[in-house]
Amino acid sequence: MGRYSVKRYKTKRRTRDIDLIYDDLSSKESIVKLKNQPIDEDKTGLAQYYCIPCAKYFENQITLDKHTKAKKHKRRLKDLSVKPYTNLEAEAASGVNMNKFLQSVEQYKQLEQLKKENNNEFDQLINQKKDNLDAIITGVPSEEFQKQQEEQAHQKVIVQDSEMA
Amino acid sequence: MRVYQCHFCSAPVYPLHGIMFVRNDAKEFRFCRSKCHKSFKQRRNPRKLRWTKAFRKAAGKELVVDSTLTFAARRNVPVRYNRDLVATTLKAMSRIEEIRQKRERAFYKNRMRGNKDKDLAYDRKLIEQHPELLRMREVELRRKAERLAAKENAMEEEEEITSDDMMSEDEDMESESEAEQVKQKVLLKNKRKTRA
Repeated sequence: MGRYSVKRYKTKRRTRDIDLIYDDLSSKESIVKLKNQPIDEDKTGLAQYYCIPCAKYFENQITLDKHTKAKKHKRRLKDLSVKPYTNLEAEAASGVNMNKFLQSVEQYKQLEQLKKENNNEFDQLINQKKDNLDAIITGVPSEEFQKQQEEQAHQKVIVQDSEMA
Repeated sequence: MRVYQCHFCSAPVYPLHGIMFVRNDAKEFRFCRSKCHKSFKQRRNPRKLRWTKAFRKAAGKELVVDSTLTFAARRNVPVRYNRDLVATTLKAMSRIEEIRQKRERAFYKNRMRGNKDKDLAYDRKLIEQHPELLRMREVELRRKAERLAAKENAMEEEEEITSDDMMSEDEDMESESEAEQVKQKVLLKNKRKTRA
């Protein structure tokens, strides 16, 4: 196995687990909170460019955008598309706390339904773009970013018009 | 004393056995052996590994939804000790286990039901595609006979070569094709001799 390395799997280097990430992604508040974190000097990119599915900080918007197109990110999205494995499932598999597990499955289905209904909003929140660090710190948006925003707004209008027509 | 379930393979974890990992949000993960612990650290998905109970349940290999499976649960309600209650509970436990095993058996049988016909159909198809498989014994015998004949031929040839050497040294100088022809002639002669 090429990807195997003992160092990577030490508990010391343990990254956020997939069931926690699933929780992160399942409410709008948590997404907003994680996407708009306060400036933290200890974290990469002052904790401003965060990929929630991969639980990873990035230097700037460009690297984050590149990452979202990459294989690792897509693999992670695939892992997140199914119900995360929890201890409840392990217990249910051996015949303990079966009812609780069935309830959790119901909850999961409801949540997925809700996510599907508000798919656009969730996507927008998760894929929101940010200005460069100078602009964030000074509070003055850079010209490029303004242009991009305008373009996006323009595209949205076009899409809406086409839908109307 | 409480018997826990392994987070990975769902095997019972008795006191003083296995290892526990506590995540930084205070969630406990118990493992029955190092195999499970290692797999957990490698972030494998138990649902995708065939040896775990989770896989067997998720893939429909075992009974999942059944009333006998719903009794064992943590209820978080303290119950005052009652001798009669304990007695009836113990009785019920063994009875439920009995019923569960019966149902499990029936489920397994039902799961394996169509297999014989399926295998038979597969074999039929295979034979249709490769009819020579049915005459395998004949083919074997024929091949054996061929092998024996080839061996005999080789022996005869060896004899010829030795006799040729004895007869004349001039022939060595001749071309290979001619030598072969001579061999064939000698072979024929030998055959005739044996027949006679």
